[in-house]
Amino acid sequence: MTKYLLPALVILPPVLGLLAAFLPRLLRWLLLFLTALATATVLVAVRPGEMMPFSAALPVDALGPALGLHLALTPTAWFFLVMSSLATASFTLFSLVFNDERHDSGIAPLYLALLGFGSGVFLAADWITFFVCWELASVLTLIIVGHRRGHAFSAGLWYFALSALGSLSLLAGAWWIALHNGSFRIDDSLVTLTGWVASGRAAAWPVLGLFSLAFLTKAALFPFHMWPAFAHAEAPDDFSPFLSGVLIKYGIYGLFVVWVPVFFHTPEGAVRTISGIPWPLYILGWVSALTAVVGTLMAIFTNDAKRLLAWSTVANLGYIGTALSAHSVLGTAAALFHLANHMVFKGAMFTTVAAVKWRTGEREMHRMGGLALRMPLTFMTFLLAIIAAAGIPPMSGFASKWMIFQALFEKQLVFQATALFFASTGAFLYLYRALHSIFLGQLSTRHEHVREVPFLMALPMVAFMLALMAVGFAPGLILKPVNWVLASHGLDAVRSNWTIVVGATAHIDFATLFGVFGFAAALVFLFFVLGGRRTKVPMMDNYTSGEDPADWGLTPERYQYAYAFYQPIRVLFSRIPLGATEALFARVARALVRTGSLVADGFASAAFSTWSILLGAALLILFGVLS
Amino acid sequence: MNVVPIVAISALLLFGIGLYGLWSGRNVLRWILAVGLMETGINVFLVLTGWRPGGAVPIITGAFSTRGPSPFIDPVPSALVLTSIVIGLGTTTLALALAVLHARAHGDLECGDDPENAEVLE
Amino acid sequence: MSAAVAFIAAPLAAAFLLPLLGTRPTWGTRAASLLTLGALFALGAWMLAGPVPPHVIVLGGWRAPFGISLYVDASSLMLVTLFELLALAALWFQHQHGQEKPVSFDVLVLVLMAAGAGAVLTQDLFNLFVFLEIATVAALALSAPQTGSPRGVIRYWLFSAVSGAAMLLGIAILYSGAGTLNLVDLGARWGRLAEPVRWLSGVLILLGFLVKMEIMPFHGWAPATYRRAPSSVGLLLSGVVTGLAAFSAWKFFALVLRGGTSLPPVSGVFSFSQALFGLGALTLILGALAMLAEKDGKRLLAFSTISQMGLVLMALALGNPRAVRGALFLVFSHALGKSLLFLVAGIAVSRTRRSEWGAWRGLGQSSRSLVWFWFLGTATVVGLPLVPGFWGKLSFVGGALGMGMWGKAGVALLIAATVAESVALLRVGHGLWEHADLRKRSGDVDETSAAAGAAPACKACAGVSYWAGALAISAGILWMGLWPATFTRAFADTAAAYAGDQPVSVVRTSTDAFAPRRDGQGQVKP
Repeated sequence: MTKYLLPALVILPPVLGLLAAFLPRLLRWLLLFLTALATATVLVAVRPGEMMPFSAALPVDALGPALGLHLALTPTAWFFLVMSSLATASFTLFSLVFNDERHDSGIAPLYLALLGFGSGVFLAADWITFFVCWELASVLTLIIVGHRRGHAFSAGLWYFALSALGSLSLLAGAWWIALHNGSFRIDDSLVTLTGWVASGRAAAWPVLGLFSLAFLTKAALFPFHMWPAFAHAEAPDDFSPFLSGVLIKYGIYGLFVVWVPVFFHTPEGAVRTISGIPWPLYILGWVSALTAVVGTLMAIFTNDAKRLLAWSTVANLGYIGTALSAHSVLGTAAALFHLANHMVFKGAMFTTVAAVKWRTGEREMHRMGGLALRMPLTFMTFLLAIIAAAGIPPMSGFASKWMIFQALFEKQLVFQATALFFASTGAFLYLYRALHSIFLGQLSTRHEHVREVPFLMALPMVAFMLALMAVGFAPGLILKPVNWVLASHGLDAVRSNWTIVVGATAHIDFATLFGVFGFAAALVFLFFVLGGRRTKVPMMDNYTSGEDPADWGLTPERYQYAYAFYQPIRVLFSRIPLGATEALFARVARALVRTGSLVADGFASAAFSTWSILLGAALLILFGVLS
Repeated sequence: MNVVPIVAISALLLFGIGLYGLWSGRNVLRWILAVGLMETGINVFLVLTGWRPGGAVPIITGAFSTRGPSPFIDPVPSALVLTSIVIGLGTTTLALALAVLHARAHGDLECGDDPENAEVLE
Repeated sequence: MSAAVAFIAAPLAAAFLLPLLGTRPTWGTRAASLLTLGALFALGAWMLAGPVPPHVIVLGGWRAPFGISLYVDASSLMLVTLFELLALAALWFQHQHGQEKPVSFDVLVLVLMAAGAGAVLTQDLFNLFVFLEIATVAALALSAPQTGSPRGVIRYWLFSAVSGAAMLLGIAILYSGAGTLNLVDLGARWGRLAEPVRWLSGVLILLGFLVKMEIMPFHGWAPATYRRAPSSVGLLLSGVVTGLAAFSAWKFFALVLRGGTSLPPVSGVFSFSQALFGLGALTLILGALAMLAEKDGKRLLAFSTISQMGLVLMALALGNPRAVRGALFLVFSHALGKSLLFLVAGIAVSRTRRSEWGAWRGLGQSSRSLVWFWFLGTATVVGLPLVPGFWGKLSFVGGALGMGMWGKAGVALLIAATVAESVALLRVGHGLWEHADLRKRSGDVDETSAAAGAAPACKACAGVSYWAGALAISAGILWMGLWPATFTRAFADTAAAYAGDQPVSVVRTSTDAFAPRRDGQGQVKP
């Protein structure tokens, strides 16, 4: 029975998706939630190593290397799967309520199929299975993101074009190795690739580059960092948490699976190092740090809540990449840890923003405000999530960010650490801005009647809050499985128990920290409750220099502080060409289209048709000369 | 008298005149004539490839020896030419029909670019 | 005599008998032509259901190389059966959704089928030429528009007439040097021919194939022709005509040029491969780029066909077993996928009377199937996983990477072209899907479009023929995509037989009477 568990995880959800296409709305979403829940339950129950690898050969023997469906539950795959399936179960519970009569996006069947192919990406033991799942997941994402409006479609198309570019490169890389060792299996090809790197074979670098292109595009690292701002923002609101929390992590998974064996298991001196780090990792470190900075700046300047969160995702992937590039046990562990944390806090943020939009229909932050009183639970979730995202104790994000900095200090990567500090400071700015604009300040008169989300929708939010606090209290919850992953790659474990983590220069008892901050928070709350009388002031009851807002012609709809919130900072950074890469890509696309229209019109014109006969004659003569 | 050079040169001339006719104008009728000339040139060349000095018409009328050089010209090219002429007839007829269509649609035989933004029925 | 001869004889006989039923189309003439095609499809499917041992059919009792022989094996039979299926779908679609055509339309489709089967099966170079010419004549007559400008078709005629003349000249030169027209026999003598004979005849004959495969710079006729031709004829042109051209080109490469077509060139043997590979790469990338800029839906499909044929030519030019297998897969997948796209385009055009795809916006709102079939066709053409194009591209990448820098450059171009092509096709698919009310908001709407609002006549509503054709083609796509093993095995067998790799190759033994025991393998027959 357990023999078929792995293929069932991959194949059953798409089959159920096909079934769901014929079900009524509520049953579809229920089926989606139950599938996600069952997947998460199964994965939490099993341990890597307990499951036998599954393989079924596809009789396409004539292609050379054997093809087939090969699945294996490695510790790495298990870690990613457990984290993502737990998060997905929460997201789908949220979706179950979110997609009511009025908000139904109709994507449940596709979402179901996506769950299966997503698991397939992690479980795949050969590159062809990996490619198939990866590509189908991209296609499904394209349809889900872009099936509505023209704008959303171009966002999906951006995503798909980059993804197809990367995945075809991956296919080429896999073939390149398979032509040498006759196998598409991931472990075989990594052994070969490691051998090539160790022996200094030139072919190792283009192959590694082909693989990495796929993962870097998916992980939205510089210069491919612009697609989440389109795709994550334009996706259906309840799908954005999955997109930003889970889907984007496939890239990190690939990077982890390929780069860790290649760079940790090659002997000293085989790869040229820069400040003690193999040069590709060093470059990755800078690229990721740059991604973190650019993502942060873009997040500060945006006025759309979902775009802000999408840019924040880009910045966080920058952190993860930088941690991975430190080329140490601590850094690798920090990357995995931050990745798991990001799933939760970014999921929580996107969920709350979706909840707000569900109630108010707004996405532009300056049109909201003061919703904390109307949606207190949503507010609390968002508050705890941004505390985690900004890396403030005692939430989970602090632990992982602290580990990232420890890893960078250990390798004395001062400049990258500085860049991350800059990005972290920026994170305070944009996260507080989001909190302030949406939940604090004055309640708009249009939102007087907004109510809290229903119970089932609140349930995942409570789960996120508990997770954020639990991991902040006891990082060992995540670090223990992380240590299993490290052990499976032959690396040392991070020294930690449930609550204490030992870094390079210091160690922290997170339980104590949690207690201190909890106590402080309780004290503040106490003062707040005991404190003096408070008067609630309606928005228009306000004056400046004796003038009433109404005197300036302001109405409650237009009276907002939150528009162009960080204009001064924007002016400060106006010289930095943040949109340059985007403009470059757009220019390349336009040039391609122009070439295309030249071909379409020029070559097919009447004038050319007789010329091509002449060209044929010239070709003939050329052949004669050549031979 | 050796006829081979004369026939070969005339075949080449026919082909060349045809080729020149193709890109010296855009008149459909000129193209049809040019292609006809080219095909004729090729047919002449084909006949030439089967010819051998002193060869007889390859129709067996009496006894002959299978040893030594064949007394006949090669019959295969002649068969090919027949087929080719038939095909040529077919395509030329078709091209003339197309020329009629062109004249109906545009009022002349100057074949320029396909007009844009026209209604397409099926 | 094998039943495979029926694929050539039956449609020809039906084509000659059909006018006896009258020149005006009646249900009788329509049923007769459809039944002929259906019966041939059934025959092909029945033959493929059992094992298909490769065999040679000697026509008229004349042994090869003196007579004309047909070589029948699983892959050629599959291709012919696919042709019958596509013709059935196209003709039925034309009957139901197209303008009314005289009986000659049905006759021409039948003639095209006979020529297609002949070109795929024959082992004789001149016979191949004749079948190609017949196919071209039929395709030309089919694609002539009833009303409107025939300029595209005139250019098609011009290109095919000149290339046909060139091909004939090449065959004459080759015959004068080698003294035979049998493909296998020519291959045996190719290495011993004088250098000028080899390159002159090779180039001239290849010119014929290149024009019919729409390879740049000989593709100039295709976009205008596709635009003006009925969609059903577009289906036949891109599915059948280019398919048979590609298959027969491969036959010429594999049997005659033997080793002369694989990169890198074998010294001493003339190699066309670099030039062909270069032309194919040019076609692949430029065709895909043209798709990005194209506003006209049917011209877009034409450029897609051009681009795909460029890829097929690249694979053929590489010439190694993996690449060739990829090429055959691509021929099949392209025929299937493009036919589906043309069926959708046919419905869209008959509803809107426009071929600009911008005018098709919102059509999918009333009939969702247009979007689904367009998407499946796109997936097949660009090679998303688990559809046939994927196996073709997978095989091609493997074949190309093993061939040095040329191959690696080809793979890079393939990646770029695939991305461009999928973007172009998906855009149209999304246009079909988009809400009609959103059309008005976005500024780029063609006001003349009659898209969703126009009350369609029954000619325009998606009828049985559309559904049957699209579903049958989809079933083929799914079968080939999910269970490619049947096809790979057949392609591998054919490629091995043509290359003469197997101990006893039936293709080889067909000419043993002429050259006994040349390689010490063939069994000599009295």
